[in-house]
Order: sequence, then C-alpha cells, then structure tokens
Amino acid sequence: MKIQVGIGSEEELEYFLAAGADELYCGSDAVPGHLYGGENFGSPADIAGAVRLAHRLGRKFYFAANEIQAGALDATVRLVKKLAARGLDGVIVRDVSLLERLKPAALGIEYILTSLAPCYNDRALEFYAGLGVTRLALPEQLLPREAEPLIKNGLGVGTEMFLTAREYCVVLNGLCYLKQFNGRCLCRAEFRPAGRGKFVMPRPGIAEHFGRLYELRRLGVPVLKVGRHPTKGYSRIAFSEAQAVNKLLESGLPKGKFVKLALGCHGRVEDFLRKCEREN
Amino acid sequence: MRKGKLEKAAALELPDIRKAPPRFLREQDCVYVGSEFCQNLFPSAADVGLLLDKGARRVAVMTSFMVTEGLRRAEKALLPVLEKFGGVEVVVNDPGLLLYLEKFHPEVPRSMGRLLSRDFMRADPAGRKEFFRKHRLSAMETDEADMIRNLGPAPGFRVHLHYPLKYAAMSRACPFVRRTTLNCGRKCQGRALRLPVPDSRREIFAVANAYFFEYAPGAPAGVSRLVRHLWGERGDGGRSWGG
Repeated sequence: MKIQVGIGSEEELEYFLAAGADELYCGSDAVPGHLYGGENFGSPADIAGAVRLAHRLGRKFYFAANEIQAGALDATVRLVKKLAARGLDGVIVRDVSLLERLKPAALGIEYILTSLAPCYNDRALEFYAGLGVTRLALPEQLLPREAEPLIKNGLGVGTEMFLTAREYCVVLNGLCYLKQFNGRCLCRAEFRPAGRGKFVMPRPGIAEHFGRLYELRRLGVPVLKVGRHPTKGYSRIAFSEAQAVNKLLESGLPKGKFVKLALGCHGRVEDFLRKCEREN
Repeated sequence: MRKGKLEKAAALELPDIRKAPPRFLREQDCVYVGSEFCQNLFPSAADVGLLLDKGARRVAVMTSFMVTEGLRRAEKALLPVLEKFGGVEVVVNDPGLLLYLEKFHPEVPRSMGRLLSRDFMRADPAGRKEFFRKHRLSAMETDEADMIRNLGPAPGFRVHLHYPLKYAAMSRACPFVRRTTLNCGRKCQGRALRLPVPDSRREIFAVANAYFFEYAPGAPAGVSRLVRHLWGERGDGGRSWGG
C-alpha cells in the first residue's frame, strides 16, 4: 500500500518526505478544515512550495478543505484553483457546495471525499461521483464486507483508509458533539447509569482493527492514511507503525499470522508511548 | 393539515404503532415513524397502513445512513409503502437514498433529515438553497433550534423542529446489542439508557444507536412543524399520549 500522511509544518514535510511517505496532505488556517488540535500549514505560497518539493521526489500532495465551507466558500474555491495551477494533486472535500463549484472548473486534480462524509453505500458513491469525486476515504466505521461495494465500485473511484488501529473514533467523527459536556471525548468514557453497573460505547478491539485492515487490503484499498495529530511527534510514531504494518501486509502472510505480528508491533509502539509519557 | 398554523407532529418508535390511541394519532398533522439513525428500524407497509387506518392524517418515514445491503433492504421495504399509500413523506439522510428516490420515485415528498441537515445548516446559503431546489427537498428536519435563525427569512424550504432530545453523536455499533449488524432483533425499541456524564451534572441518553441530550425547543421563528419524539420522555422509554 502507499502511505499518506497529514502534515502541519515545514519540519513535518521534510521529515515525512525523508521517511518515505508516498502522499502528503495539509490544511490552511484560511480554509475550514477538520483538525483535532493539530496544525495547519502556512500560506498558499508555502503550500505551493511544499507541492514542488513533494513532486521533485515523486510524491503526491493534497490540500484538505474537509469541512463545511460556510462563509469561506468563495475564498476556498479561489485558493484551490490557485494551488491546482501550481501543481496540487488533489483536494480533500466534505462540502457538497464546494464540489459543485469545483467540478465545472475542470481543474484536472483529484477530488477526495473525506471519511467524514456520509458515503456508506454504492448509490451514495454514485451521488458523489456525479459531483466529481475521484477517490473516497473510507469511513472508519465500515466493516470490510460493507466497504466492498464501495471499493469495487465500477465508477473509477479510488479508495484510501485510515490506520484505524491507531486512529479511530467510536462514534461518527464528522457528526460528534460529545465534547460539549465536559470538554473531553466522551466516546471512550465509562458511564455509570443508575442500577446498571458500567457502560462504555461499543468499539472494536485492536485485533479487529488489524483484521479489518487485512481484509480491506485484500479487497484492493491501495492507500493507508495517517492523520494529523494534536500531540507533536505522535504522527511520526503512527507513521512508523503504518510502515511496519504495511511491510507485514505486503509480505503475503495469512490473516491470523498478520494480525498476531501487527498486534506485536502495535504493542511495542504503545510501550514506547507510555515510556515517553512517563519521562515527560 | 392546518394551513398557516404551526403543524404538530409526533415521532413514534415501532412498538408504539400498535399502542398509540387513535385519538392521539388524529391530533397530529403528521406521524413520524422509523429512525434517522439506525437502518434496522425501517417500518413495513403494514406499519404505515396501521397508522393510517388508526387515523393518522399523514405519515413521514424517517431513514438513516445506510450501508449497501441496508439500502437495498430499505428500497425493498419502501416500494410497497410508496405504492400503496400516496403522500407518505420520506425523511432522507442518505445521499444514496436521495439518488434512489430521484431516479425511481421523483414524486415522493421528501425532507432532509437531521444528520444531513447538520452540514447544510452550516453551508453556503446560495448553495444550500440550490441543493434543496435541485433535489426537491421541501423541508429541513432539525433539532438545532439555536441555528434556525442563521437560515434567514426565506431559506427556500420549510423547517421542522424535533424535540425534546437533541442529537449529540451516533455509532455504527449498537449500544444495545454491542456490535455492528443488520440483524439486531430491534432490541433497542422501547428502551433508552440514561447516562450521567462523568465530571458533569449533565446526562445523555442512548436511544437506538445514537446519543442525545434533553433540551427545550422554545418557539423559534421560521419553524413550520414541531415534532415531538415520544421516546424522549422520562428518558426511560416511557410514554405519555396526552398533549
């Protein structure tokens, strides 16, 4: 699989290009984007510079405009056109209005539908393909058998997926308003309903995540994605795990063996993260 | 339907269809059934027929995001409903279902459901108005009473306000059967979990596969229909048929 990573700085750009990322993406403070406390890149000139550098090394570079563009729609359209003229490979989109404005512009770039968009079935993909979408970031919560009609879509739309063992939202992350209650992500909280003991929102275990990754790769998803992260350095760790797991995936192991080895890899990353936490 | 007046509607869970008194149903301008959050709670033609037989003046079928198999099942379940009962409204959250209706049932009255409305409530006004016009969506279903004023005085569609529970999140894995499945036995119906939020005085409610909190809708301007969800009452799935 190719590995795609989100970046928020020049430092990260240089790091991930050197580390072997095949595709990179960034956002901008000028454009609404879905960002859990990570960083956006700099000016349009900075982004254009990043595109040039990536291309020199044979990599792809995308721009994330993956939120509803209310109030910023015109500015976002102008920026995407400007960046496309400077070689941008594609834009990650959620807003239908943005797609409708970009499609007639015939920019010749990829339109990647964000995993936050409600695209869970073949007809929904047809809907978005009609708006110009050329690649789908699979919603994280789709099971492999549910994703199969989207992967084998017959519409020429490519797919990519997150390394969900490392980045996963228990609820639909594009439609989550749980932080409003106590400022924290409640989806992993332990609730104590009266007279019922403990309640946690159901979520897959890490083994299941790797099992899903194995199946999705087998079905033909070609790109593995590592997102931007609020903690500095975390995405580097996630990227390393993605590389290690990708190597296992491409080695032709049977599923059970792959999951076992991937769990080992994940465990070692977790140990490292705990060690970092203790030392800080 | 009462013209020029604020319409009154009730949203029922599937077991309520048999329990709801005819008098209660006749008092509503519209009865909503199904789910905007779970694809497994689709009503049958028999369910819709029973509501109409018991006196419901108008029925709106709520639909959710769906995976491909769920959409095929919904298409199959919807067909007899639409063929037998004229005027049934469909509340649409899934773009795939919207495409299906446009291709095969363009005449069916449809509104944009609460999930999809979350994006469009915040969208560029001109783009939003054009989307509603192009896709013949006559109304926006919402529980964001505080956002309605952002739509302006002439958004190009009606606004239907749902209460008393406001959407906070949803998962694909069901909290009642603890997994993601198309065959759940509908164990959530008639049940709701009251979940006190840690380190807070607030609580959220798990209803089917979604999480909500209680709110009072007030009387925002620009609302054409108020939709009261019965499963919200008392947070324990209890019912009161009055009002």
